Amino acid sequence: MSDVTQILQAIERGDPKAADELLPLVYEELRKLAAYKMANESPNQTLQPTALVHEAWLRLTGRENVQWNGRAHFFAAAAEAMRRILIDNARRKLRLRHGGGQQRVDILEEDLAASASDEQLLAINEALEQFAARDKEKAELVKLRFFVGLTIEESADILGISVATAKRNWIYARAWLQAEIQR
Amino acid sequence: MNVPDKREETLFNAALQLAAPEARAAYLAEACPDDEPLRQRVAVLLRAHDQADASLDKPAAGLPARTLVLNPALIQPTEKAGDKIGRYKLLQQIGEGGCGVVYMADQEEPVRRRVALKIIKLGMDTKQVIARFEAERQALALMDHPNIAKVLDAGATETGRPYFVMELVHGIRITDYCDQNNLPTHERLNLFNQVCHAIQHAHQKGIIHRDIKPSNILVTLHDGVPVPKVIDFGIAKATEQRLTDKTLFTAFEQFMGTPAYMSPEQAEMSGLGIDTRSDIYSLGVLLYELLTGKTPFDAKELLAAGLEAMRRTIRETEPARPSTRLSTMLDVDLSAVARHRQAEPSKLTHLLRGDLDWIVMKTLEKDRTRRYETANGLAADIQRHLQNEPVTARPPSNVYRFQKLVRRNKLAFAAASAVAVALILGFGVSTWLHRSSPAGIEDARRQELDTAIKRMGTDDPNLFKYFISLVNVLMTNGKQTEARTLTEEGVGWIQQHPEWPTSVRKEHLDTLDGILKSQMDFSASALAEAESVQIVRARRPADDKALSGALAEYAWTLLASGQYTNAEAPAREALPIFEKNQDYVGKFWVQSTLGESLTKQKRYTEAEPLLLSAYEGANAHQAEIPEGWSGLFLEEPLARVMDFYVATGQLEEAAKWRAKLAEFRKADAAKKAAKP
Repeated sequence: MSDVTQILQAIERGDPKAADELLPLVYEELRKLAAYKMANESPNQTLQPTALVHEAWLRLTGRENVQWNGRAHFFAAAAEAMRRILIDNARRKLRLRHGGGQQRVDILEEDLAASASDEQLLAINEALEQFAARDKEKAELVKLRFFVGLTIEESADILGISVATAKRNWIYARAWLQAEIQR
Repeated sequence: MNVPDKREETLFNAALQLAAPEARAAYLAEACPDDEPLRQRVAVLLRAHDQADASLDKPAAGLPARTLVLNPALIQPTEKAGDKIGRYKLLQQIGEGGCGVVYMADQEEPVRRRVALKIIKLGMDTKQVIARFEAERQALALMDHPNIAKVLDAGATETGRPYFVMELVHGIRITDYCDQNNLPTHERLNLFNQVCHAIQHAHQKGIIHRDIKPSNILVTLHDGVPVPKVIDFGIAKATEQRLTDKTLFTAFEQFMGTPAYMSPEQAEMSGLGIDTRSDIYSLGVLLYELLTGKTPFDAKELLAAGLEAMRRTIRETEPARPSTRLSTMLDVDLSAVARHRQAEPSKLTHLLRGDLDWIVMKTLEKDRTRRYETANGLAADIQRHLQNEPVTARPPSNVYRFQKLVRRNKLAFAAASAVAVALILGFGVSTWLHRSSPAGIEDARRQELDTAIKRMGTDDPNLFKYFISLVNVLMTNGKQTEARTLTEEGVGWIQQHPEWPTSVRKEHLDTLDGILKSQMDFSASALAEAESVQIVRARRPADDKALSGALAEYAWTLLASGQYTNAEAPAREALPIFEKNQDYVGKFWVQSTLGESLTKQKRYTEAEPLLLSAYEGANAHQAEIPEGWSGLFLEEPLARVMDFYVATGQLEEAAKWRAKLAEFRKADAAKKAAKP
């Protein structure tokens, strides 16, 4: 099984193995897509993770209609993929800075990880992993917001919760993460 | 631990509704007295929340690198009693609000005096704040009024936070003063008028307050006479922040305080176009609260609804008029409000209806050109009301003037209902009748009604047709506010005439109710329906089908107007009647209404089975639902089940029902599209 649409349908049917197959596909697609964009379009542009994920969706499923149910799983996988790309990159850069040899850093990763400092990113990620172990649902929301860059409204729509609930959850999650990082 | 700690989250969310740290601490102490670790965890979360900047709100990638993440500099340094700040020595903390902490302090030079020193919370650009203050310092110095506390100085603390020094006022909030001393309405109005004069003085010097609210108007006693003092002039402007949508939602309470007193143009937050009339609006909110004990919109509800909904409410929703607000309160609440004003509940409502309603609504106009132009203008109208002279807040009419005259001469005055009809202008003869322009028709309708009143008085039910023609033409001409007001008065008019034939009263009420519902004026609609229920109940022989219908509609409207608890009784009464008559559509609909009322009362275990079986029942009896009504009788029960799961935080269930709802809507749309 390799077609993303089929995988998504399998997840919908409740096949537990299908979700594992989805992540690597989405991860690869995002990397390729970003590298392609950096190489062929403007070299100095900053990539919008939201736009990347939307485009990956379009390419992998061939569907413009984003009202389709499997979308939630896809976005969850995309958020996880974005998280891994950013975190791996931050780790590598830190290693380089602390005495590793000079290496060529992927264009893609250099430009994607431009906003938070690497240490900060790792600190947030660590707190988020703690949080996910306690409250998976809200951690999903944080991933969608922080790693894919979705708005509260978009995240609520994908998670199938009301905007008010999403806001409440977001405020709670953010306070939790902040407290964890300051500990 | 793998289970999310619901208690921690619930406490956090509840405490977040409270702005002051003491209030939060008090709440936590009360909510979990014997779980110190839990309490501490929540306190840590609350502190973290207060310190959180917007960095997590921005995506990790794709934005400029200078975005800060979790800046440790935001950990707040705190001043304490005994510290020296510039020329001032802090004595004790006397208050804490949304934007800062207030200390009593001693100034040692050039003069020795005791002052109030307000330190603004972190998160603002200190230089800008002080620069803005300096820009207005000259104007502030020109203010000299017994009801204004002077702002003396401003500066920056060692930790870089801006502070303001003010004349020290020993006083309590104006609203608290009035309630603690049970001031009757006219004494409240006298106090309020002094506030208006102080604001007028500032406006004449070119100063807008921008943050008028009870905590900024303190009452002190001078030789036993209460004197209101307006504090914080100039501070709102200096600390004003241009907030973006993103930071706004989280920073709102911290920087802006309560939104309940905010004018529509301030709610825009464009930073543009705030003028003296914004202060007039806030004065109107204060007056509303002094009269009814409530603000036009509830601050907590505004904040809970989120930024966009809040803006929309302040900009677009017409608040209930003060008298309507009182008459839709729970009995216990109303009698408490009345007791604080040394009045009988019904008399208080009556006292507000008319002049005071009009005065308040004029200050609260969304369109500021329709508000009072000056604070003095507002004060003058209140003075006129107190002296039984005609107020300017309503169009002058012969009937109204006459009525005022009667009242002043202490003769028996006409029933309040007459006021309804008295709004209407009426001059000259009805030669405009044949004009075809809409304005001409409107004037003609006004005249017809005026003439009819003169001919038959206000106790004749036949007046209704003139009345309703005017309402109709007003609606066609886009004068919804006036039409709505008249309609509400019309309901009062019918209530005042129990002697009319019940069929006539019911029919008129139904007409008015239809208009009110179309205008989404559910509070007034509930009043009309309460009267309808009484009428139907009194019918002999008893007509229980009509009664269950009236009750069910009344319960629905009570819910729609936010009177969740009140909705329970009529819904419960209607349920067995529908059942007995085997009216399943009605039965399941009212059962769903009842379930929703229980949900809102947080009686979740009772609500869930009711809501579920209401939807299932409605679904099973689909065939009996009249064509075109599935939205009300089927979709609504379905949506309420979903709302229930959202309200109780069972999001997986909620998502399931959300899918069902989407499915239903799609099928329904397809069905409608298939119709020729």
